[in-house]
Amino acid sequence: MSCPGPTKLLALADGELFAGARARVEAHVGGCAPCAARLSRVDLARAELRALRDADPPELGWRRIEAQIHWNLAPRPAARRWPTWLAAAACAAGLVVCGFWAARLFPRDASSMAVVPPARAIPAVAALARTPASFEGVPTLVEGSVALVRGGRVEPLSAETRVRAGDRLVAHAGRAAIQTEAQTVFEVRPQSTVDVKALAPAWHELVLAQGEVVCRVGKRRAGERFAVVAAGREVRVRGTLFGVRRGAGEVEVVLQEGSVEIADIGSGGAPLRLRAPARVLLRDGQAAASAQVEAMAGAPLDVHLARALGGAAPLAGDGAFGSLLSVPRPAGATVLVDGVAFGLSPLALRLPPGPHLLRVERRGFDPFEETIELGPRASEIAVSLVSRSSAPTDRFAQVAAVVRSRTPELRACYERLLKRGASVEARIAIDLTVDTSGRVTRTSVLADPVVRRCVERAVRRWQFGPGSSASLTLPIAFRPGS
Amino acid sequence: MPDKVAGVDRTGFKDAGCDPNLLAACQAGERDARGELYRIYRRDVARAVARILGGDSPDLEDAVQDTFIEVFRAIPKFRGDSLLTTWIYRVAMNVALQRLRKRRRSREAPTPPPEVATHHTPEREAAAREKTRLVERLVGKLSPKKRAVFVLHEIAGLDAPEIAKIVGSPALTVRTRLHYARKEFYKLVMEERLLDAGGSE
Repeated sequence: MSCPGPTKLLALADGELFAGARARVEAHVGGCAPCAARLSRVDLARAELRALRDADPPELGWRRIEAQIHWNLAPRPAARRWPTWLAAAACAAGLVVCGFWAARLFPRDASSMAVVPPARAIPAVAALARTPASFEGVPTLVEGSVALVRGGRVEPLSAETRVRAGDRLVAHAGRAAIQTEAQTVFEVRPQSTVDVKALAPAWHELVLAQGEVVCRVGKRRAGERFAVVAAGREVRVRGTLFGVRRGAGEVEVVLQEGSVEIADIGSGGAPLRLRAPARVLLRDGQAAASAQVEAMAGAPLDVHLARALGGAAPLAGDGAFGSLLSVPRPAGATVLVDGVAFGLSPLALRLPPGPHLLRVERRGFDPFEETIELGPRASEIAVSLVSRSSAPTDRFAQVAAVVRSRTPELRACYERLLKRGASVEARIAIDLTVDTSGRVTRTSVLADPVVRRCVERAVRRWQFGPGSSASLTLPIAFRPGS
Repeated sequence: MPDKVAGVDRTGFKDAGCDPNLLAACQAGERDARGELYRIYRRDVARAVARILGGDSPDLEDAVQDTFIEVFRAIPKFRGDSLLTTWIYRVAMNVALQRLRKRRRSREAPTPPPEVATHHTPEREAAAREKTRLVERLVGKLSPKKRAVFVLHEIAGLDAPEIAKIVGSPALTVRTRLHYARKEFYKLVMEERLLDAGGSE
């Protein structure tokens, strides 16, 4: 018999052949290696198809997808899609990080401090008047986690969160992009704190308390505004891609597209106008009659300011920012505050004063969790994590074993009771807590008062092995002569 | 509605016990409700589109996203003629098939399995993974129409009437197409020596 065709073989595999035909084909396959191989390939392919059917759902960027879904469904004219922006923001961020263009500010002219002209104050009022309560930014977590501080509470920023005016965004290890309008998105970079001061259509104001923020801003017409304030410097833009970084004692502005104006708040001086590409470095506490700006693609360019820039005004947010919590130890553990992962220790965080749930966890160690009360001043919390080498049940067993081995010592207490002839048999329950160093930190004994004092004294002297932290209650019974 | 119930079973979607309040809120366009529905079904949708597009396909996220956008756009018109799960599944299938067709249009070759990042996985696992890829590639050799019915039947586990509803062809056409698709696929399989146990080791 010649080899059966693929249809026949498939019919055999499907069990669709009648008895006679099946017997013939099976007989052939039994003696024909190529046909047997074909048949086994069919079985294998089927198994693979089944595996595909039963495969676990792939892990995707759920939060990002959700943000995009909401964004696409939001009633908004000319909605643009995400990736372009993120790419743009990432691109600008790359500029902030990678390149280095130095610029200098000339020494400050102290006599040139000016009063804020009232005309500058009016737009802020207008901003409030036109801020609809519903205007919100849609966050996308690019990496890590970012905390949202709202009304003294810390919560993790998620795709479901909406960013509003008055919010503070704190990114320690994470990065998040906040989309506010079809053409506008700002990215809070790692190690940054950004206050959202105003968030309204065509009217945004951010205060960069620390770190850097990268903004892609849609065109602004007269009367519309997008401003970033850093260390008393205000960067205003129209239709631009730019980054602002607040370093130690300086503010750096990198401009990739469009134009920005940099003004010193309170100086009333003419703002510094820049066209892309440019990078400018402004030192804190210095004002200048002229600033040297280096155009990115060309030779240094001297920009003379009409009037001196004023000094850096203290940031309104700085004092109110709250207390500094530092977790210097252990290294490499994840630090969570109020359920938000801030990054790996050692690290220092600024948090609103008040109670916070601090959790420090590291693989292989028991997590540390405690509610801490942060005052207005800095707090330092060094955590020692206990190795999880022994499971809790093991630790209980360990402690219990020590208790049992030392129980005879307690017999003296029982003897005392017997001397008083109060009882023939005594049952006591020892409730004790052992800390990580093996010391007894708490005992409570349920027994006759005389026995209790005696037992408690004895138990407090006991030493348990290090790492045997546990809290447990053990019943002990004494009988005469036992 | 026996086929609907069967469909749900085989799709692997969660039980259709969808809260009517949630459905109503989604129909009213409430963002939170949409978020909740998304969280309930996202994994099932991802699994469903992954079956069609392949688990390593780079456009899985887009497909999931498009599915939900489509679902939320159309949900006001959802009248409960079928189970919500079946309906969502159908939308997911349509979105995935559309992508598949688009992909076929844009480049003639089926998605080349990316040159695997398997060097860190144990060798046996890598070999198994390679076989899965191989089968996916063979599926990719079918014409888009055949591929759609084949995938819906062999991987998504739907029967002809269900497939007919999704692809919008009569059930009989689906059956015929499926017959030829299976024949073509298994013919390819039979001649694929790389599938042999020792083939890739």
